[in-house]
Amino acid sequence: MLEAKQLSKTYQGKEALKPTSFTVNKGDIFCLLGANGAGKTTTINLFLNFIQPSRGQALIGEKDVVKEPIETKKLLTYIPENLMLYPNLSGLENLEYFSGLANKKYPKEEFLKFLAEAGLQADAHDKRISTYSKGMRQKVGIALALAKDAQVLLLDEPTSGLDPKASNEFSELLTKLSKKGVATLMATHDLFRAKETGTHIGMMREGNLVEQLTTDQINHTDLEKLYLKHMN
Amino acid sequence: MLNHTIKYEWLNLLRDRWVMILLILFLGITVFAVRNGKEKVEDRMATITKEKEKMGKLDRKMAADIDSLNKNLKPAPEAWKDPRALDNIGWNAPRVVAMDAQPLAVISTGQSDLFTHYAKPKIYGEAYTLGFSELSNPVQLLFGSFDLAFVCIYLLPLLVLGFSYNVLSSEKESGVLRLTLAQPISLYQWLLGKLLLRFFILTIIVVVSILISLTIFDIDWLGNRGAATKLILLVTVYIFFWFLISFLINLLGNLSGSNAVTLIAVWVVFVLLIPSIISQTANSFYPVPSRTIMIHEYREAKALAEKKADEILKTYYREHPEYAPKDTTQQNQYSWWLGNFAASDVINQSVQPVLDDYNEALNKQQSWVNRLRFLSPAILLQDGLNDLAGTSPAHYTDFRNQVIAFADTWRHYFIPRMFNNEKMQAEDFGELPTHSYSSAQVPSHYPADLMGLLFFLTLTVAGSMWVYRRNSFENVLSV
Amino acid sequence: MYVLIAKQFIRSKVVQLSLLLLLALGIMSVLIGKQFLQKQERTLANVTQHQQAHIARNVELHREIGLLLYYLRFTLIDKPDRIAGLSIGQRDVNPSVQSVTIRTLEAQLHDTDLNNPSNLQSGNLDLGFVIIYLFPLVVIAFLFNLLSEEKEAGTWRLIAVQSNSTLRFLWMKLSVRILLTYCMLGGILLLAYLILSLPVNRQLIAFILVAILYTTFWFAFCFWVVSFQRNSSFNALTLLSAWLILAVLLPASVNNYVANLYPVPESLAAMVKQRERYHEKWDMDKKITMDKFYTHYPQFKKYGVPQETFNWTWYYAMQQMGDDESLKERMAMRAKIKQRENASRWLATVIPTMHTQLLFNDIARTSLSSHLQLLDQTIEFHERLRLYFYPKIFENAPVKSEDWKKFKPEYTRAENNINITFALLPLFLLTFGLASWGVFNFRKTNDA
Repeated sequence: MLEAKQLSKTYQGKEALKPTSFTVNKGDIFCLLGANGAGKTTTINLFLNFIQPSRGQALIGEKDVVKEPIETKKLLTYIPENLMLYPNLSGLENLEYFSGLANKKYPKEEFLKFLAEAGLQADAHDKRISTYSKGMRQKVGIALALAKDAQVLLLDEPTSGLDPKASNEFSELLTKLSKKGVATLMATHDLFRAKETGTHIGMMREGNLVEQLTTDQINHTDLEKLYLKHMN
Repeated sequence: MLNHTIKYEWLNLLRDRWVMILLILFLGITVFAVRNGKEKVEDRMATITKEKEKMGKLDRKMAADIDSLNKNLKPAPEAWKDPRALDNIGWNAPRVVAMDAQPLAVISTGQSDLFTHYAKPKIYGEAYTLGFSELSNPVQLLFGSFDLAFVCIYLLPLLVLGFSYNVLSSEKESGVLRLTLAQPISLYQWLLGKLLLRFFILTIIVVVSILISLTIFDIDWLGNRGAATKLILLVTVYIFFWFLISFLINLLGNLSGSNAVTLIAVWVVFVLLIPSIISQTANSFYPVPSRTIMIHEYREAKALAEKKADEILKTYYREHPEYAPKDTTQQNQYSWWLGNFAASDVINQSVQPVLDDYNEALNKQQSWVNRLRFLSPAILLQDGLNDLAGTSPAHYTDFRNQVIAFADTWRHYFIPRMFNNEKMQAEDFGELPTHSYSSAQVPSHYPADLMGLLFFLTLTVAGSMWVYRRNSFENVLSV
Repeated sequence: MYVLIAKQFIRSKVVQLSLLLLLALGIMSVLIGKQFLQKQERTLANVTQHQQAHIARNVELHREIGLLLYYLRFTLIDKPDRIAGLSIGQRDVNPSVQSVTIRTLEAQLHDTDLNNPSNLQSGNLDLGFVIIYLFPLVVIAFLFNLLSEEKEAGTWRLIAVQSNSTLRFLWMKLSVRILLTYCMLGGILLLAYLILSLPVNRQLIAFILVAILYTTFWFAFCFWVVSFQRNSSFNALTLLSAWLILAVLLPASVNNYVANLYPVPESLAAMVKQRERYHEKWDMDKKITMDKFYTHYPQFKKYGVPQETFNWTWYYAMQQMGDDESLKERMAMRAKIKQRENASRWLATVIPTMHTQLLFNDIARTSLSSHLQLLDQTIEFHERLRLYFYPKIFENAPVKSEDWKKFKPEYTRAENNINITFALLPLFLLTFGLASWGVFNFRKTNDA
């Protein structure tokens, strides 16, 4: 579903992302690990066409994101590190709005079902976003993924700032989606979650994808050792 | 997708307190401005009405006097006070040549503050100038008077900018933009949708405010639908231009604060600087000689010629034998005046160069300013509004010409009769030449002004497309 | 540290652009002032030339002294100072030259030099304009994100922790900006001094002081708004709205209000009235006219009441009466204008833009009150001429007996008695008050 082909990005002489290739298939949860500035966010932004690659291609559903920005965006849902919504609108209204932008119209009950499925408590549906916590906002993001029926999920540090329970709920939702065939690319620091939920792991350091492996190949302790080895 | 954006944008705006406050404030200011305009127009009309009444009264009195004198009911007064003397009527009972106000005169004071709106040309005198009102405001204003034109030209853009300066930058700063741009939409279309909605809302409110204010003060805009439509069209295009400028600046992807400063700079340039620069350059390139000196030279030449009046009169009779007195024994009672009429040709010849020089310089200045008005939408709107209100320089020049033309008509009514040594009869009062004002022949700037504004619109649209192409999401998101 | 702050500030493109723009406009405004002065000089030279020729020609033409003085014009000139090039005020419209005959005065007083009425719509782009309206915008652009830019970039936390006093840090940033602005102001004033050949006198010093104080006011005002520590957007909007209100809305409203409070009938009306009275006198028994005249000027009583149908003594007495009787209207109108001016000045003490504009005009002697003074002096001049010529006319002295060459244009000077300290006080108080409030706001949050 997602493919990076020799994807690279250079800013003013500095290579933020060196030519990188990897694939994320349907049902995969690919976790990008690495320190700040390693190139995780750059990679995600390249897939979103927020920045343009200096060389190489980013493909979603075998379409180039630069050449077909609108087509590729139809296929994906993005949840940034700190998901912000319109404070004056309610959770429901925000969901309706963004779904509408993606041309997905449903009756109100359907939307409410999506919110419930995403784990947002019923009494919050009609309250203004200004009253929501970060976790609640993220759930709206997940509801959007459900409403859009997205085939690709792009996540940037989704569990940062979430308490263990919320983090857990989130992981369960991810697994659910993965079972439905959604391809997920997730940038994260959370080694534990990466091993627990993820299917594939990629480690990045200074713009390089130094390691690619599947999670069943390694256990928690070894994963940590491997990570620290690359970080030095 | 556009409809969808509009619905939620509407919800967002409705829940914003500031928006509501601004709009109500605007309505108040509009009412105030129209009231000011109306006061000025009413003053102007009241003066004219008074003058016309006085004229009517004097006519009736003189007619009555003529009657009594002819019936020998009163002793005959001195020659120069006798109402039966044509020169007396021509000099002391002039007609009121008035510049009536157009139906929409209240919208723009234009130049009406500077001139008097009536003249009473006599059979002899200086009809080439209209009286200038005295300037009695202690502080020379930056912007002239607080009329509807002022509100539309100077304040309306600020309202538009306040409404739209952060339409993209606020989303970027709050972080929502990332989610929006992850949707399958075009940034350009989406932003345009937001702006269009604000444009529609603002325009409707502005138009309604204007129409309400006009109605409150009894301006018959319904009866003058053509002019009212032109007014609304012009103002709408102007509003749209400012929204597009905001659109363009937003597309640059800077912070809200910077946008505000940049947009104010644009406002300063278009609304303050360019108009100022244009009038200053008009003064540099086409300096006009001192009017005081011109008046003096005119009077000198006249005095000289008046001195030679008798000799000139004899020459005049030679050249116009039809006017020569048939009976040389009878002294023409108007001989002094006739001398002056004859001399007027000679006077004009010696004086005309002075007037011509002066007028030509003035005209050159005026046409310079006219041509350069296409450099700023603010000037175009001012020009268009003055045109609709009938208070533009062209209108006053035309009125001046009407006064001069009527002065001529007035004179030529009396001259032949005076050369024939006739007397004034009471019935003649109904036959005296009269003037009625029409502004139909004043060339209208309106179509050119509208075209100019539309051209600015096109330029801005082109500019925004260029900026959009050049600036990728990178700048917009500052990723 | 200071140098670094300065570098960071000057490198900003926005700063460079606004300084450049301001410089360009400053220079342009000075050149405009120069053009104005040159035009005035040309006019004055013209007039002086004309005066001589005019008198000589008329003396040739007319044999009777009464008739001669019907035509003869005498000139009074109030030459504008060179500093008027900095604040043109109403000098371009109200002429510096008054040319009068000894006939009725009212009509002659109001010949304006109005050439281009549309100039009035936008005011003159002189240096005063640049200082009052454009400098504040630059100050706003420099200061609106003084604090908020650090907060929004996230560097404020760093600074707040490290520096000894956040206030001191802000002061350093602030002083860079103030210094740069003053340098720009000084530079432009220096250019003006050179280009306009300004004499160094009290007026120039006063002008400079007012300019500096006014700019300082805007710094204080912006500092005060910034001290509430809101975000850039809020600051920008508030400051720009304040500029709009102070520069545009308040002056317009005050003018409106004052005009309604003291309505002034057009002077045309006064002139018309005077004309009509004049016509009446042709009918009145000469004795009545002469009696009134002699009540005014008892020293001429010996000339008695003329009997002929037309007599110069009686003619000029009539002219005099025309003036005397419209005196009331003229005084009333003058009083109204004075009231308007006073009301405007009082209201302006809390509107720094208006106040400074009035001050500039006062210093340069280009205000309405200067013009009114000139009119007063013209009246005096006119009276002197009349009293000088009346005996000669009444005795029908021969034209040749007078040395006409001695009548050159007379020069006068409308004095401006401004009490500078009193004038500067409102500005000073406002500046000081706002600055203190701002400091207090910052101290408050620091201690918390």
